[in-house]
Amino acid sequence: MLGGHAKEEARTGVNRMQAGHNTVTNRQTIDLTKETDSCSERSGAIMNIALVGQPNVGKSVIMNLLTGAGAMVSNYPGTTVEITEGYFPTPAGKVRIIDTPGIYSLHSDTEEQKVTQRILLEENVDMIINVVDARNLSRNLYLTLQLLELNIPLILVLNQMDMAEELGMEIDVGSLSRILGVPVLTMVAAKGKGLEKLETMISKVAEHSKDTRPDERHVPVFNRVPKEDLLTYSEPVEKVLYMLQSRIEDTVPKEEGKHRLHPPRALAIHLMEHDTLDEDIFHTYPELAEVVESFQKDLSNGHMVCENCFRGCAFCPAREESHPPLRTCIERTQKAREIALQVVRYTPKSSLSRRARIEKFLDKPSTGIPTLILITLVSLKLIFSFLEFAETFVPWALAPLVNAITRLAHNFPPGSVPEILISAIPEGLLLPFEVVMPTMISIYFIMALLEDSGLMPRIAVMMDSVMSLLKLPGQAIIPIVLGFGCRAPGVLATRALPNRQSRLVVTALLAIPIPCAATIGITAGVAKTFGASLWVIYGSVAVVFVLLARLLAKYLKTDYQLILEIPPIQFPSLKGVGIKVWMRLEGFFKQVLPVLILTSIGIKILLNSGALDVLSRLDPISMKIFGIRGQSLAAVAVTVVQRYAAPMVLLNLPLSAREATIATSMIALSMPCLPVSILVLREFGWKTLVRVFVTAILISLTVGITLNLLLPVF
Amino acid sequence: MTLLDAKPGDIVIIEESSLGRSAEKRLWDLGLLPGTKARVICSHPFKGPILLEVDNTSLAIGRRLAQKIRVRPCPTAQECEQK
Repeated sequence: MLGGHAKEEARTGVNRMQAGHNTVTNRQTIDLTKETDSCSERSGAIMNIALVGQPNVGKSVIMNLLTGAGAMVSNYPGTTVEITEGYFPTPAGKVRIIDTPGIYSLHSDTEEQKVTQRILLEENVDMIINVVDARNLSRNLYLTLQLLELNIPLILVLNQMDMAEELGMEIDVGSLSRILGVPVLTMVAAKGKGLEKLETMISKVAEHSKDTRPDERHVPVFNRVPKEDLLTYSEPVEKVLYMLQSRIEDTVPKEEGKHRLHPPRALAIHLMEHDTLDEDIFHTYPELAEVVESFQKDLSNGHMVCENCFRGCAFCPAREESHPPLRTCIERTQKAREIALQVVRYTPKSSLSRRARIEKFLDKPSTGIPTLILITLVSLKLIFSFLEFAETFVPWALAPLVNAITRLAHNFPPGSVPEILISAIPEGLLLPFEVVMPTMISIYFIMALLEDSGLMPRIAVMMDSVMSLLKLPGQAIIPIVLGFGCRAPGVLATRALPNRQSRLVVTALLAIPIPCAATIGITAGVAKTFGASLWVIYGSVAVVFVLLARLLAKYLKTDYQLILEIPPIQFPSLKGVGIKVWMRLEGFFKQVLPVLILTSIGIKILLNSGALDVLSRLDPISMKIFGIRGQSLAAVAVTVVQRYAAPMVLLNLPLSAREATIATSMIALSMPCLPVSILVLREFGWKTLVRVFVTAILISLTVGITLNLLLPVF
Repeated sequence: MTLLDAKPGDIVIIEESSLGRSAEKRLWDLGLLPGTKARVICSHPFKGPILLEVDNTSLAIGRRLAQKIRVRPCPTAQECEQK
C-alpha cells in the first residue's frame, strides 16, 4: 500500500513537470489527505517554522518574543534534549514555531544535532529562521550554507547586532542578502529590537502559504537566487557528488510527500560527511545505506576509481589510514569566511567596551579564578537559603490544608483503608512542595542566571583541571557541589554537561555516594548517640566516590576533554530568566507532583501492613554477613523515601558503636531517595534508574560486608 | 610546535590535529580547521585549559587536546591583523 502511494506520488510529480496545470486538481486531493495526517493540521497551524542556529545566538529569546509564555518545553522522544514549540498568531492563521537545540553544523556528533536533523526530517518544516551571531559571521554562515543545501525557504536573522557594533563591525546586510539569496534581517533580540520586521515577514509568508499547496510554497520574499557558485564545491568534490547523486536518484524513490525536504544533492553531501549509519536519516531513507555500501564496494574492488582522490569523503575506504578533515567541511568553511570578509568591515575601536573589560578581567586566571569561586559560593548560598526558607514557609502555608485532611482522616477508624490513604496525602503533598518544588525553582533560577550571563562556561573552564582527576569535564563541578546541599538539584544541573556519558557518571555519583546536607547532619547525630566512627563512615563514602567515578568513566568511556565556546558576558534580563524558570517548572506539576503523592500512599500502605517487620527474622544471617541486625536493613530500605529519614530508624534500635558505624555507612551508600529517583527517571528513563538501583544495592552490601571484615570488634 | 607551546598573545595558524573522531568534529564545528588563525588569550594554571580567540569568539581547549594540535606561528604580525 505504501509503495503504491509512493509510486502514485512519483508519477504525479512527473506529470506535474510535464503537463503543468492538468494535474493540479488531482494533486490537491492527495495533499488534503496527507495534510490531515500531519501534525500541523491537527494543531490547526497553517505552517511550521523551525528556528535553527548555533548555540548562544539567542534563538530561545526570539522564540519567547514570538510565542510568549504559551510555549511548551518538551524532550524530543528518546532524547534528553529539550525543544520548545509554540504558536505565533498571524492574520492568515496561527503558525507553529519549533525552537531547535543549538548546533554548530548538521554533521556534528551530538545529541542536539540528531534532534535538529529529526525535526527537519519529520516535522514538515516549511521555513527555517536561521538565527546567527552577527559577531561571528564566518562560523555561523557555515551552518547557513548547510541549511541552504536542504532547499527549504530560509530567513537569516543577524542577532546581537549591538555587540557586533561594540566590536567595531559594520555588516553590509544588502550584499549578504544578495550573496545568499535570502532575506536578511537584523535584530537585538535581548532588547526586542527588530522584532516587528521579523513578525511582518512571518505574517507575509503565512498569508502566502495559506493559499499554496504545501510542496509549492515559493514565497514571494524568497524569489531571490543565491550567487551562482554559492553552493558549488571544487571540481573533485563535485565529481564525487555527481556520482553519488545519480546513484541516489536511481535508488531512493522520488517520494514527494512526507520527506520532500531532502533533495538528492543534499543527501549526497550528507553521505560525504557521515561515516556512521545509525543516523535517523538512514531510517527515513533506508536506501541510502545501499548506496553507500555499493559505492564502497566499487571503490575497494577497483570497479570505480576517483581521479585525484583527496581522501576527504567520510565513506572512502582510503580514509581509514589517516583521517584528514572532510573536504566539504573545509571548502564550506573557506566559503563562509570569504563571505564574511566580503560583507564585514572593521573599524577598530580605540578603547575597550565595558563588556570587553569585564571579560578580560574574568578570563585572566589571576583575577578571574577568585571572582568565579566567589560567585559560585554566593550562588550556592542563595540556593540553600531559599531551600531553608521554603522548609519553614511551605509547611506553615500548607498547614490549614494538611489539618483539614488530617481531620477528615480521623472520621475513619484508625488502620482502615480510607484512613491510611487519606493520611498519606499530606506527606505526599509536603515532600514535593517543601523540597522538590523550591529546589527546582531555585536551581532553575540560578542556572538560568549563570547560563544567560555567560558565567557558567567560565566556571567550568576554571574547574577543568580539578575535575579531570575524576575523568570528568570541568562542567561537572556544578551538579556535584549542588549535590552536597540537596541531590535533586544536582541531578537537574547535570544538564550543563556536554554529553550523555558524563551526565550518567555524575548522576550516578549524586544518586549513590554524595550525601546531602540533611543526611550529613543526621549522620552526625547518630554517630554521636552510638559513638560510631564518622571517619570510617565518610572514609567509605570518599573511597566509593572516587572508585565509582573512575570505574564508570572507564566503563562508559567518557570523553572528558574540554572543547567549549566561551560566550560573551551579558547582563541577563529578568524576563528571559523568568520565562525559562516558568517553562521548566511545568514538568513539576505534570510529572513530579502526581508521582510523589502516589508513591507516598504506597509506602504508607507498606509500613502499615507490617511487611517490613519480617526483616527481623533475618537477624542471624545479617549479623553474620554485615554485623548488623535485620531491622537495620529496614533502615537501609527507608533511604528510598528520603535518605535523611533512614538514620532516624536506627535511633530506635539498641546498637553497638560497631553496628551503628556499619549500618550508617551502608545507609550513606545506598539507593537514591525518591526525589532523586524521579528525576533520574525523568531525565534518563527507567532503564538507567534500574541500573542505578542495582549498583546502589550492590555497593551498599559490599560496603557492609567489607566493613564487617575490616573493622575490629570493639 | 603544538598549541601548548604558544604563549599568551601569540597568533598561530592551525596546521593539523590528530584527535579522536568526535573531538575532531567538535574542533571543526568551532572553526578550528587547518589554516585557521587563532590568538592565544591565556593558559589556565594547574594544567587547566588554553583559551583561544577565533573569529571573535573565545574557545577553551583542554590541555591534553591542545598538545595534539600542531600549529605554526603567524609569519608576520601585520598579515594576521588584517584577517
